[in-house]
Formats: sequence, C-alpha cells, structure tokens
Amino acid sequence: MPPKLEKVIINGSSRHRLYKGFLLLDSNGYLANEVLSKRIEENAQQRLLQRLALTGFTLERLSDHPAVMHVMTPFLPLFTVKQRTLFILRLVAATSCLLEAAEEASCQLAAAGVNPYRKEDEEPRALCADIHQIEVYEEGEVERIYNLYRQFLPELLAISTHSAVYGTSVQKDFSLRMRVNLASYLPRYISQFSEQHLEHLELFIRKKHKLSNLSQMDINPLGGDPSALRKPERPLLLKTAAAVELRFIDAQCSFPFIRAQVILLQALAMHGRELARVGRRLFPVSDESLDENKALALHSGGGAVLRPDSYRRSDEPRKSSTYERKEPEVATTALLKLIEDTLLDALLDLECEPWELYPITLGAELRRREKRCFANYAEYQQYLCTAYPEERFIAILQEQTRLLLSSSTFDIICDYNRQLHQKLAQEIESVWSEKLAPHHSSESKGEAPC
Amino acid sequence: MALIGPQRAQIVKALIDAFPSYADLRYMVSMHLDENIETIVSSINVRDCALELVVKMDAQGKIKELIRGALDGNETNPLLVDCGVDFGVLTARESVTLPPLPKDLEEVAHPAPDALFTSRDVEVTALPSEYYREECLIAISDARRWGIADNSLYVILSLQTLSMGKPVQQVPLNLRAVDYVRSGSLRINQQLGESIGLLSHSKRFWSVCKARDIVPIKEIVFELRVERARVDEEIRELRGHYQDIFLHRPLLREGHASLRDLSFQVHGLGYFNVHAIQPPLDTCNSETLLLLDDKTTVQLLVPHHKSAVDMVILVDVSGSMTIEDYVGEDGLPHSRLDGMKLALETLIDRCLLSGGCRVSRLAILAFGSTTAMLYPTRPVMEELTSVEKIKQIRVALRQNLSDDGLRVLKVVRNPTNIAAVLSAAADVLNRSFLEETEKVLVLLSDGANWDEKTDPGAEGEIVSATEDPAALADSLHANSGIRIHTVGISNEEAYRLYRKKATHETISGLTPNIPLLRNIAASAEGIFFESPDAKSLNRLFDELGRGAIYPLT
Repeated sequence: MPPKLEKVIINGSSRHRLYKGFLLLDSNGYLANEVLSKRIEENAQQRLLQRLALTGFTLERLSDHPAVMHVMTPFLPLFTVKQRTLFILRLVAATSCLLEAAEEASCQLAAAGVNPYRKEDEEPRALCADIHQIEVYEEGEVERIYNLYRQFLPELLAISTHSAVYGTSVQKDFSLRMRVNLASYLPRYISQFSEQHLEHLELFIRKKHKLSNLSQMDINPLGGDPSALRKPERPLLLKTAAAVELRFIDAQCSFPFIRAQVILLQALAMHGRELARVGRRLFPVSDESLDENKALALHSGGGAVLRPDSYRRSDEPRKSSTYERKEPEVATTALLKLIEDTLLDALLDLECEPWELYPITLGAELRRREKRCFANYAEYQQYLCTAYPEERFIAILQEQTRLLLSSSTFDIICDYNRQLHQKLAQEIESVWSEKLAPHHSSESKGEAPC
Repeated sequence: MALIGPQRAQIVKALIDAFPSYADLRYMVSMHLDENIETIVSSINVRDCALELVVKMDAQGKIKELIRGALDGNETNPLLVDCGVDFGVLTARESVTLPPLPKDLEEVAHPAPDALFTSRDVEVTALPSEYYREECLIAISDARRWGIADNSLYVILSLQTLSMGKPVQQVPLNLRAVDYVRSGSLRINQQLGESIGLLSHSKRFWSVCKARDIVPIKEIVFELRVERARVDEEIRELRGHYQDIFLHRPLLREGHASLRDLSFQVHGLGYFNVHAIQPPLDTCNSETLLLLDDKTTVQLLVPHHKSAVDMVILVDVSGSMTIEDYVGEDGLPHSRLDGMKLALETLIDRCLLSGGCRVSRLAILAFGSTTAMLYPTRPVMEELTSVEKIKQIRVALRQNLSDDGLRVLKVVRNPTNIAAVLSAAADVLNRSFLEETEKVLVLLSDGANWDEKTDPGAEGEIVSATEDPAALADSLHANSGIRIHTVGISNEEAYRLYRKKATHETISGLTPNIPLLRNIAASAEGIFFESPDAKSLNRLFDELGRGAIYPLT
C-alpha cells in the first residue's frame, strides 16, 4: 500500500530514539556479574528476536559496567498520541523480554541512577541513565535545539533526578549519577554549529573549555549519525539519523513519566526548529549560571530553587525563563512556566493529551500551590526509604518497580498525588485540558527567546 | 458502550490483524479474558468469530476488557493500539485505589518544646546581601522576651517542606540581636531566604532552637559539585571574598551523617561537597554544628577536565635499594627492591582492573644514575587495553628488573639521579601529549640520593640547584601540568633499626630521604605515600583524575 500523507506540520516533531537504562541485580539486590549479565543479555536478545513487533529493538551492555543494560529503540515517530502509545508499548514489550530473562536467572531489574538496594564495595559505581536521541535534519536546528536543551538543562535535570536512595540510605543529593560521573560536562554555548567545520568548533571548545570533544558534554550535538547532516538529498526514514543526544538523566522506572519527558524534549526541539526556520538564535545564558543551577538541581531535585543569570544585562527585555525573569524560582514551577510560555503551540501540534503530561505537571502544579506531594520518582523513593524499615522498603520497592516496568500506564506518583489532593488535582487537570484543547489560541504564545 | 457499525468494524479488523487464525483468537480469549471461546461464539471462521465476539462482549458491556485482553495478547499490533487509544483503554489510567501512604501526613506545625520562637511570632523580611550566609537579625527587645541573653548565637531553624520524603528541613543560622530591627520582625539573608523558600510568600511553619554542640573546624577541603567554566577566576573570587563567603559560616551535621552527607551552599557556585574535614566526623556528636572560624584552613578540590590518565612509573633500582630494611606486611625485613616490586605490582593491577582510575596509557622507567625504559622498550606511552597487556607488562618486568636485565638495559645503578629520571619521564609524557589526559608520575624510591663516591661521613649528598629534584618537580608541574606522586620505600626509623642490627659497616648516605620525597610530591601537587603496600596505594587511585587542591585561606 502506498504511503498516505495524513497531516503536515511545519517545524513538527521528529523521530525519537531511547536507550532505556536498567540495572541488573541478583536476587539479593547486588549488581549482576559479567557471566550472569551476559547470560541474561543473550536470553533477552533471543526473546526480542522472536517478536516481530520489536524489530529494530536491541540490547546493549555498558562497557563500563556489566550490570548496566540498555534497551535501545530504533528511531520511531512520535507525532501523534497513537504513535507515542505504540512507542511506549513496544518499549514495555522489549523491557518485558529483559525482565523475563532476568527473572529466569533469578535476577531482577532496577531502573534508577544507582542501585537503591545495596552499596557497591568498589568504584566505579554502576551509573544508569536513560539516553534520548532526537532526530535533527540540518545544522541550523542542531544549534538551536542543542542550545535550548542547554538552557533548560537544570529544569529537565531537576525533575529527572532519580538517585535519592543508594544502598538503602537516603542521599543528600537527588542525583548521584552526575556527581560521580567524571566523563560528563556541562554543555557549553554553541554560537554556530556546522558539521563541515566541526574541527574548528572542537578546537574552540578544547581551547576555551578544555573539553577534548563535543561528545563529552551532557548534551551531545553529534548523537546518532552526524554524517547524515552532510548529505543534501538524503531519503527520509533511514534507520540511522543525525540526532541531538541527551545523556544526563537518571534512569526512570515509570513509562508514563518517560512518555512525558519524551514529549517535553520533542516540544523543545520543535520550538528550536521554529527558531531555526525564522533565523533566530538563542541568547547565551552564562555557563556560570547554568553550572550553579545544575548543582542546585542535582542537590535538591524538583525542589531546587534555580537562580537567575546574574551575568545577564538588565536592559534586555525578554522574560521567558528563570534566567531572564531575574528572580529565583522553584525548578518545577520554572518548568511549568516554560511549558506555558513557550511550548504550548508545540504541544498542540503534537496533539498532546493532558494526561500524557500529568506525571510531570500534576506534581509541579501542586507544588506551585504550596502542597506537599511527589514531584518525581526520586522523592517517592526517598519517601519509601524513610517511611519503612529497610527490609520492608526493599520488598516494596522491588515489587513496585516490577509493576511499573510491566505497565505502560501505571504511574504511582500521579495516583498518590490525586489521592492526597483529590479536589485540587481535578481542578488542575481541567485547567490543563483547557490549555491543551485544540482551540487554544496562539495568543498565549510566549515571546521566543533569541 | 453500544458500538456503532464503523466502531465494530474497527475492532473486528484489529482482532483479525492481531490474531489471524481461529486458534490464535481462541488462545487469546482463553489466556487473557479467561473465557472459553466456544461458549461465546458459534463459528470457527475468523472474521465471523471476531464479529460475534465483539457483538457479545459489547452486549455485556465488556468491550474495554476485550480490547485490553487483546492488547495483553499482542500489545504492539498497531491496529489494536489504535483501538486501545480510541476506546479509552490506552490512555491515562483512572486514579486507582492505592493503599494509603503509611507515614503521617499531618502538617508539622507543632513547635519543639525548646523552641525559642516560631514563624507565628515574626514577619520575615529580606536582609539584602550579595553572599549566601546563614545569618538573620532580630530586635534586641524580642531576643530578651524570648529568653535569648546573647546578642549573637547559633541556632537551628526547622522548616516545613513540601517534600514527602523529607518533611522538615534543618538550617543552621547565626542569629544576632540588634537595635535597628523593629520588634516582631526577622530579617534573613536574602540569598538564604530565597533558597529555602522563606521569602516567597510562604506560609510554611518553622521554629528556631538553640544549637547545642558547636565544634570549630580546623581544616576543611571543599569539592566543586560540577565542572566549572572558569576555575581560575572563581578561585581568585573565593580567595578575594573569603570573609564574606566562608568566615563564621556553620555546617550542620544531621544525625550521624557522614562526610558525603554534608554540603555547603555558595552563592553563584551552587553547592560544594565536603571532601575532607578535621576534626573527623566520628569524633563529633550527632546534630553537631560545625563552624568555619578564623583559624580554619579552607581548601578547594577542583575536579580535572580530563578524560583519562597517562601514568609513568619511575622505579628506583639504585644501590641503596638493596638494603634490607623494608618491613613488609608480614613484619619481616625485606630489601627495598622487594618493597618497590610490591608497589609496582599493586599499581599495575589497579591500573587496568579498576576502571574508575581511568589510567589509559602507561610507561615504566628504571633509574639509578642513568635511566632506561622498562616497559615499553621505546620511549612512548603504551595503551592499556586488555588483561593481556597486563600479562605482557609482568613478563617484561620479570625479565628487565633482574640484575641481568638491568645490565642489558645498561642502567648504571650508582649514584642515584632522581632529577634525570624526572626529566626523562616528562619527555615521554610530553612526546605522547594528548590535551584531554591528566599527566601523572609515580616515583617509587627510598629517596636516598646516594653516590658511592660520597664521603661516608656525610648525611646524603649536596646537589646543585639545577639538579634539585623538588625544584624540577615544581617546574614540571607549573609548565607541563604534570603531577608527581611519591611512594617512600622504607624510612629513617627502619634504617636506624637496620643499622643497629647490622654486623658490617653501614653508610649514612643510604638513609631513606623521606623529606625529599615529600618535597617532590608537594611541589607538584601530588601525594606522598609512606608505605608501598596495597592499602596505602589504593588511595592514589582514588585521587587519580580527581583534580588539584587549592588553598583558599
């Protein structure tokens, strides 16, 4: 059957690829050794191959640590609710292959930045991340999308922290992953990205920031296959693609939460694409300010109070982010404002249903109203650890992780937030239904930073 | 849900697509709907069967169950997924009844019995400040009313939070009673107030209690939390504004918190971790307030922007290394060469086997009066890629470190020339220069700068300034960024005991020169290790790639 053009969106979303991270643990919660993890990988790989619907899905063990495993999706479209549902369902199905293989070897999966059950005797720690690749089509949009992700890195990082518990003890930081990962650096502002002049750009980064190459940064503008950018008339929908890669987020345990993350990343990319098409650039938020906010986000997660950019000139009028508003802001509220001021049009183009964003927006809205609730799964992990004795905590977290990894729709923090603030949650949900209703005019659109 | 024609058709089409044979359909109904298909439908033709199934399930109000069961049987069939979305099966779950959260969620609005005052007693306003400091002001009249006799004291503010996992946040504060604050008002450092949400129209409850245990910090090493853009400028800034940023600031040790649980907020830099502290935390009580005062030595550890480590190990094979005054872990005397071999063994093991230390390239040099490459044989750095490489290194060392081997390599063993080997090692490192790697020398030696021609009565040997190894180490660090760690093989005390027991005449130039080794390490921002055993050397690998320490006081 020939392809049918259903809908055209200018500056729309692109395909997405996810390296979903898991920690392989033995029945006592210790990291699986090389032999065990290889056995599980082979078994899971077999299971993947038997599922036609999972063509293109693969498994990859991290070279740094045998107990860290990634389920890699192919580049898949996420333009509509159905496509996103299919993406998540396939991901759940691929995860279940790994889960079954692990359980057959009397092992279990954990999806968090570090092992919440046991401490590791030896460094390096097994650090587990979800890596997102967002397909890009040309150099101009690489620059804008990369710089947008860079600018909002602290907000994205704050909600995605997921290492609040390590070896059954509550940590002072919400993300240990970044703290002990010596090969990951704050992305530096790129004023002009050019694949052809990559050597010049890398030389500049090397001289100014002492980074040996761009891929060392938390956000890698050269993810996927960057050579695709050089091909002028490349066919669409190849298996490989050039991509901007975000590899800074702790591994998440809830698929609805991942879905919300994916939508936010795609919406930011769409906004970047729009800037590229009209020839506008992002102003450079200072590295110092981002460094500070990144540190605050790592420390306090969703509750971090992000600081404005004190290096910015006061006469500049735009006010669409914490850096421009010149006032400190709680990370979850800053993220809500980003969505409301900048991303609503992109979300409408994505046909985003309000429930798709609730795993992030519901907790953030409750916080904006000064209500005690769960802003992300790190807080839930921390809560369980303080509310239960050690053995009970381990049993509950293991059971709930299994449930979460087996379901495309199960979202504990949303359910608990609703349970805690029933009436308010209903109000918030109806407000978001209104915001994301298709008739929502573009009047609300915030002024794009440039 | 009463389906209309096109809806029925959509579901039937999806069922046929996902379960193309009667057997598939029967299996799905049995496994995922827990029903016997024969009791529901009469036909065995797939299309008729699917239609009948849809109609009957619809009549029973179970169409969602049918779609959910079908999705359980084939969760990624696109047509079924469409049905799942269209018929509300694959959207957000309705709120499910989870068990109530076990912990009491009552708002913490009860002041502790020993509270001095609470949020109900004062109105909070900002005390403008460029720096983050744990300080606040109250009126003298209020202080007296609340029984506070001192005009300055350290307190702990317990603040209600919005986090479920940590309902109360504790913040140490320096509280001062002054006459220029009006009664009923608490003026809090603006940066602090904004950071803990006390100034943002917050209605959260808080109370203030007097800090009980206050311990002055003798020495503290902070560590940057994230890689910084302009480290040098920031260190200058920290030194320039030391008083505002550090002096008289408290850190709170909550409960039995370890070093990793302490952090220190600095405006403009986020948080510092605490890398080391004196006195050690295990000597402090729980809930101790640790105070940075004017006697505290403050240092900053800056992580390197380096992705790998190039390591050159320098092995002293001079005449003094044959002395048997090295006391091993077994408590028995061994030759210094044995001690050196033990250190070498540990270093090589850890280089590859511990991925965290990130040693990516290695070279080993032997030295006495002259210098020779032990591994590899050419003056370059060798990539450490596999366990096989380690085996090769061991074989090479066994061959080359013997007397015969050293003769073949033409190593002149006396006198000792540490400066020459430092220069040679720096050449090897610089020849294989890579911008992104950290350059490290590890000197395994007794430091005895001994020449057999030296006057036996003299203590060591006088060397000229250009040959002074410590001066050279300083210059190599300043100009080439090379860090030099030194490992002392034996020590003065061991040699003294050895001399006591020795039956033959000993030479004073053989005394291990530990001060020299310390100086070399200190000049090149390295660490001096007193012992070559694995326990001691493991610290070296913990420090590798971690960065340099800068004094701030």
